[in-house]
Amino acid sequence: MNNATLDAEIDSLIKLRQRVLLNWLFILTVILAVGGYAAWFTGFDIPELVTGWPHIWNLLKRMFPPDFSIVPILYGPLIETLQMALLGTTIPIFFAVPLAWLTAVNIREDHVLGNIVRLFLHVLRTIPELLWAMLLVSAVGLGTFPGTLALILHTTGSMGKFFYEAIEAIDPGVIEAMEATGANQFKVLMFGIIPTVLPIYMSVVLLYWEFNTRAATILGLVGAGGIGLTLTHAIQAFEYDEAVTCLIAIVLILTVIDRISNYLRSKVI
Amino acid sequence: MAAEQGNTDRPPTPEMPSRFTANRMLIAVVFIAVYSWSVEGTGLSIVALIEGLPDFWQLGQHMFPPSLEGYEELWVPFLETLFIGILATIIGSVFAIPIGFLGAANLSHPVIYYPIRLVLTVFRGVSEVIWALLFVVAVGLGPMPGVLALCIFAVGVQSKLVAEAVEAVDPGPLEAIRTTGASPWKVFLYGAWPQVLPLYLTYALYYWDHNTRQATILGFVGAGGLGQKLLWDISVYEFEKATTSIVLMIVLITAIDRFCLYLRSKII
Amino acid sequence: MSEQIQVSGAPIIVVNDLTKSYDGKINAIMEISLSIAKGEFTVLFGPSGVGKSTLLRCLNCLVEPTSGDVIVDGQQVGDMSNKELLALRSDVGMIFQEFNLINRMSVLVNVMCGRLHDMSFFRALTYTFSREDHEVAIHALRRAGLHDTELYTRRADTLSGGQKQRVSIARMLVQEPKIILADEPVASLDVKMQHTIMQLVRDIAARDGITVVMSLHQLELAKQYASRIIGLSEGVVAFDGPPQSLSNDVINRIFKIVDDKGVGSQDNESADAGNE
Repeated sequence: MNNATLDAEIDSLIKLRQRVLLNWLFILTVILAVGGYAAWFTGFDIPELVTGWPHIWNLLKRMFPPDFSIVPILYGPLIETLQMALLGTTIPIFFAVPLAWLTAVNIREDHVLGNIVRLFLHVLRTIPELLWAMLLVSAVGLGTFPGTLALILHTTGSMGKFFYEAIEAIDPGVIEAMEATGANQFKVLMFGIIPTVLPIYMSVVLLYWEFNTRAATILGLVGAGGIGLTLTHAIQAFEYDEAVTCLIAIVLILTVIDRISNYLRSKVI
Repeated sequence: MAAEQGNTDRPPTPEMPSRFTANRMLIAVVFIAVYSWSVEGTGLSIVALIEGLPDFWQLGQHMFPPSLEGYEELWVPFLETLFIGILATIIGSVFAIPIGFLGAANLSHPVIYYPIRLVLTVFRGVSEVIWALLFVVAVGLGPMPGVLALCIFAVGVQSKLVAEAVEAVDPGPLEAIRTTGASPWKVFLYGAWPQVLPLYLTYALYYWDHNTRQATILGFVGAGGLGQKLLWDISVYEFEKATTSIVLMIVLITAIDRFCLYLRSKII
Repeated sequence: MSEQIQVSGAPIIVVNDLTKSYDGKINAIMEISLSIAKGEFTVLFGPSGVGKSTLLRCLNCLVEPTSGDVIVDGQQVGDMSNKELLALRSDVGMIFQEFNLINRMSVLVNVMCGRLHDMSFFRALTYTFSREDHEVAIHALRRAGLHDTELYTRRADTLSGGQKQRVSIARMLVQEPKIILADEPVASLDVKMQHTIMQLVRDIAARDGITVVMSLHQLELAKQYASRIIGLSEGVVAFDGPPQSLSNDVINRIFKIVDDKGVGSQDNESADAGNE
C-alpha cells in the first residue's frame, strides 16, 4: 500500500469529479442562456402572461357551460375523423412494408436505391400531416379526400422508418441459425424474419392509429374534413361554448382510442 | 401426417385447430365492412386518386423550382420556429420533474396523484395545434401562444413519462441507502434519481425534436414561426416560396434530429 | 486467517414480543423475543418466507413492527425521533442478497454512499465527496478484498456477483457499524464465493467487535460460521442455541412445519438442509 501513489490517485479522481461537475454546470448555463435568448426572441413575457390572464379567464368563462345542443351534429364529423384515421393508418402499411424492405441496411443490395427510398421516407415523415393536408387541399379542394391522403403520406414515412429499424435490429444470429439449417431465402424470411418483426409492426400500427386519430381531429383546420372543421367554425363564429363541446368530444374519442390501442398493444408484444 | 408403417406405438397426431374459426371470420367480416364504409365516407378511391392526378401534378409544377425571392423574410420565422421548439422543451422539461414526481404512485399520495394524472391526460389529450388555437384566441397572435401550447402538451406527456420512470424504480438500492442512515432526500438523490435521470434526458431530447416539428405548423393558427409564413405564401398562391420554407423546415428538423441522436449516444 | 469471535455478555439487541402482521391477517412474525449479545454471530435460519427478512428489517426499522419492542444499544427503536433513527441506522450496516448497488455509479461512489449520513447538504446535493471520504472508501475496499484500483472507477454493474458483494461490504464498513444485518448475503453467489464472503464477514466482525445478525437458508454455512443459530419456522422461534445442538430432528421440524402448510419449494430447501 504505497501512500504516495494512493494520494496521487485520489487527487486524480477528485479532479475528474470536479471536471464532470463543471461540465454539468456549463451545460446548464448554456441551456439557461439559450432559453433566455429564446424567450426574448419569441417575445415570451411572463408579465404579459400575468396581464393576459384575464383574457384567458374571459375565454374560459365564455366556454363554460358547454353548449351540448350541438352534439347531434357532431356525429358526422366525428365519424369522418375516425374513418380518416383508420384509412390513414392501414393503407400506409401496404407501402411502408415493401419500402422498408428495400431500405433496411441488412437486407438490401442496391445502395443507391436504398438511400433514395430512405430519403423519400424521411421527407414524407418530416412534413407534418397538417402541412400535407394544406398542400393537398390547395391542389384538389376541401374535404376528407385530401385529409386522408395527407395522413397516408405522412404515416407511410413514419411507419416506414419504424419498419426498417425493426428489420435492422434483428439479431443476426437468428438468420444465421436458419441459414445453417439449409433454409432458402424465402423460408428464412417467412420463419425467421417475419415472426420476429411482426409483433413490432403490429405495435407500431396500433401506435399510429392513436397518433392519426389525434392528427385527424385537427385536419379540419385547413379544411380537410373531420371534427376539426366544426371546431374551427365554432371558434371563428365566437361560439366558444360550442367549441368546447367539440373539444370534449375530441378528448373523449382520443381517450377511448388511446385505451383500446394500449390494450391491444399489450396483447401483441 | 399419417403414422409411419410399423410404428404403431406412436400416439395419434392431434388435430390442428382450424385457422378459420368462427370468431376470426366474424372479425374479418366486420373489418371489411368498416373498411369499405370508411372508404366511402372519406371519398378515397382509386378513381378519385386518378382523377386527382392532374391536380397533384399541377401543384407539383407550381411548387418547383423553389424560389429564393424574398428570402430575407424567411430568417425571422425560421429562428422563431427554432426558439419556440427550444423554449417549449426547456419549460416543459423543467416542470415535468416536480409534476412527474407528484404524479408517481409510489412517491405521492392518492389525493394528489389521481387529480394530477387526470389533468395530464387532458393536457396531452388535445393536439398542440388546438391548444395553440385556444391560446391565440386568448392572448393574441404571435409566437408566445405557440410556446404556451407546446408547453402544456409537453408537460402532459413528459410528466407522465417521468412518473412512470419513478414508479419503475428498483427499490433495492433505495433500501440500501436508507440503511446507511441517510435522510429521505438523500435516499432519493442517490437511490432513485440515478435511475430516473437517463430516461428523463432521453425523453427531453426526443421531445425537443417533436416540439420543433410541431412548432413549424403552429403558425397555421397564427402562433408564429415558419408555419405562418407558409400559410401566407400558400394563400396568395406563391407556391415556389412555400417550397423554400418547406425545404428550410426539413433541414431544421433533420439537423435537430441528428443532433439529438448524437447527444443521446453520449448520455447512455 | 480466521479470528475467534469474542462475545461479551451485554445484550446489544433485545427484542420483546415482536409481532409484524400485514393487513391484520398475515403474520410474518409472531411475538418473538430474543436477546443478542455484543459480538455474537447470530444466524437466523429457515426456509424462505418464514419471517427472517422481516425480523431483520424490524431491527433497523426499515419495517415498522405491529407490536412489541426492539431495543438496540439500550434505546427503544420505536420511540426514536427521525433524527435518532437515522443516527441508529448509520451505526447499523446492512447487506443484501441482491447487493443493491447503484448500478450507474462507480464502485467508489457506491462505497462512499455509506458516509451519506454525515455529509453536508451542499456536498450531498452536488455529489461531491471529500478527500477523506475517498480515503476511507479505498481503505474499506481493500479490507473487503478489492485491491485492484482499476476497479474503483468502473460502473458498479460491470462487476461480478462476488465483487459486488464485496463493494456492498465496503459500503457498510465505511459506516463503522456496531451491528451488521445481512439478508441472505450469499444466496446469489456460487459455493466457493459463498464461503469467501462468509469468511470475510466473520473476520471483519471479529476484528472490529461487530455483532452480526444474518439470515441464511444454507445449513452448511450456518453451522460453519455462526456462534449461535436461531431457527425460525412460520414466524416463531423453533430453535435457539449453538450450531452443534442443531439436530436433524429440529431441522426437519423447521422445514416440515412449512411442508404441512405448503409454503415455499421446500424440496430444494430440504435437499439443502439434508446435505451434511
